[in-house]
Amino acid sequence: MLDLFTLVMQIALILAVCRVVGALFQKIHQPKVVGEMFAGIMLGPSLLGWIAPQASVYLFPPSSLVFLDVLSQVGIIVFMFLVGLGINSKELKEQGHAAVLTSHVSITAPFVLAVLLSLYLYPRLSDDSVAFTSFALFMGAAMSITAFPVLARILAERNMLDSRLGTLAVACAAVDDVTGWCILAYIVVLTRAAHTASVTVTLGGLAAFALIMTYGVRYLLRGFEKSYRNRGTISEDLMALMLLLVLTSALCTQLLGVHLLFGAFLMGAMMPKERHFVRYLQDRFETITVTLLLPLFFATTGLRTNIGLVKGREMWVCCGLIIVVATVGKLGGSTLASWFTGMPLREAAGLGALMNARGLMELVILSIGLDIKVISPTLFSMMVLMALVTTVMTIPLLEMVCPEPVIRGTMPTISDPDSKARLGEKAIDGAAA
Amino acid sequence: MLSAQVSDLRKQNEIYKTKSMYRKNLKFVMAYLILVGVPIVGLAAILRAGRTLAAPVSVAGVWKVDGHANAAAFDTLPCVGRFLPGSTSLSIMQSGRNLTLSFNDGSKVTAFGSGLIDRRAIKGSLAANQYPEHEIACRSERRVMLSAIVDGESLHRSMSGTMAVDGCSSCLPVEFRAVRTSSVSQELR
Repeated sequence: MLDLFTLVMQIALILAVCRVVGALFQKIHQPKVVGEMFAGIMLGPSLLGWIAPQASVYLFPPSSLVFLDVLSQVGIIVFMFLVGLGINSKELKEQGHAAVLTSHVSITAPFVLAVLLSLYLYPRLSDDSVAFTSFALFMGAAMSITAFPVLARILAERNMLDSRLGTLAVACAAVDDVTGWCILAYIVVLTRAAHTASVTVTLGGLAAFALIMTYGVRYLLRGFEKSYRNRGTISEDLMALMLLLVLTSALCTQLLGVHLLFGAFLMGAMMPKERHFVRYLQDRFETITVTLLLPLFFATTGLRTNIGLVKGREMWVCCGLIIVVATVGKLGGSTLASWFTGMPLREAAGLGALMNARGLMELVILSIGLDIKVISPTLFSMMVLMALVTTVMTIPLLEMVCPEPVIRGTMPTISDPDSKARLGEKAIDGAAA
Repeated sequence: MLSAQVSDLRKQNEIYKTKSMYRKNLKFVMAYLILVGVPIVGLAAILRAGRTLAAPVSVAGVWKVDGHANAAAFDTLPCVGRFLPGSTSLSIMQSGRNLTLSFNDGSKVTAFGSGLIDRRAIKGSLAANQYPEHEIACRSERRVMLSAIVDGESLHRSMSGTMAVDGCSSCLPVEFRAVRTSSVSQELR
């Protein structure tokens, strides 16, 4: 039965701790989201449950966690809609070859390394109820994801959104996330198909749903933007309709055997991408989602994370390997690919550092993995640690390899043939003049 | 004269641009093949190799301990016997070979410990959360040593084995049998 007092007390406590820890992390030049992730872990068995087990049981009795989990899942549905909303495929097209190569390598490198690492981890951290293919593909998807919202926020805070590095990072992160979610959808279907419909039927249904969304619903959604353009605002009725569409899309993907979050993400991706319209929707939705509901998700994730499960030398070796492979794959892969396309090494390393941030998106993926039992609670805790470490290292690494003057001085480079041609053309025009 | 030179320069620049575009495209295709194509081929090979790997038998979940048959025998185990009989369930959280074990009476955890699984053999030890204060011998913690063999496939798994008290030479091990009722550990929900 719902104990309203306990639930409200939990929400109040989570909000307070997340705000305080988030502010403290901002003081040390870390994104607030890292502090909130840390706050969630503090409230779980890793810290509170360890130092004060009685208080932990009183504040978070196991029977009450269901309600907290439901609330946080609603928040994540809206959040995934916002993530999809922020993704603009045009940005990738504008970046050309550099973005295509960098984004694809930044997925492939950590993905392949993670699958390779799975050969070592599978016999140690999994069991025979999980097929190796599902386990390995999940590890690949989890390691190749980039925290698109965190990255966008870091770039905005540092006024880097319009720099070459910023636009390339946003475009690559968008591709990474879309690819990561597609792979994850496949894994979920693969895992669940054994108990429900066949993989082919589910994938076929999902493809049909995506086609309907792309070629049907997408055009209808333009009505929202039209209304915003005409009035400068969107009425409450239309906002309610939009939410209804998000929830319906989420339910469709759940019924198709994937997950609620895919539908919400897809609906966001299908929305019109006019900049002011997107900003308006983000402002309207973010207030409640980011302030109230996301901290609940951090807390429920923290309550499921038990760093105490990572014990013994072998476990810590596994944890260390996960962090190293995730960092080398993502940071190294992105740096190498962007350097290869003509970006100066420092900028390329800056891009790698940005792409290495996993943040909240990683936690969402890991929660799905734990729910469908592809990963064990111990591996979940290790991966949460990895998400925390890679996100924490983003800003210090960025400041180290790519300090502000480098970003401000972003120029077309002489190693880029296109730039050479453009520079040559300018010189000729100058001579002609 | 100057316009002819400019025209020449323009032509040369056009040629340079075409060449550089060609070079750039070729470089892109090569880079794409090396950095994306080759790893994807490698990925297929790794996935194929991984299928031959064997992971430990899955024992995670809630196990119903058949305590009624052995209620009297459980009572003979000093200090720890009280939490074993009746409706006690055994909850196992698994991570590869490593197990976290707990005896539960409803939502209450009565004993907690860890164990290992090797092929189908489980070995573990648990300590009670609270010992009866009037039993002086219980003040020094005594652990239940669990040893069992897992049978059956997938969800319909059962285990049979013995439980004994650590450091008690006079106590006879008690045989038990348990059936997995859910593959989700209570602690996760």
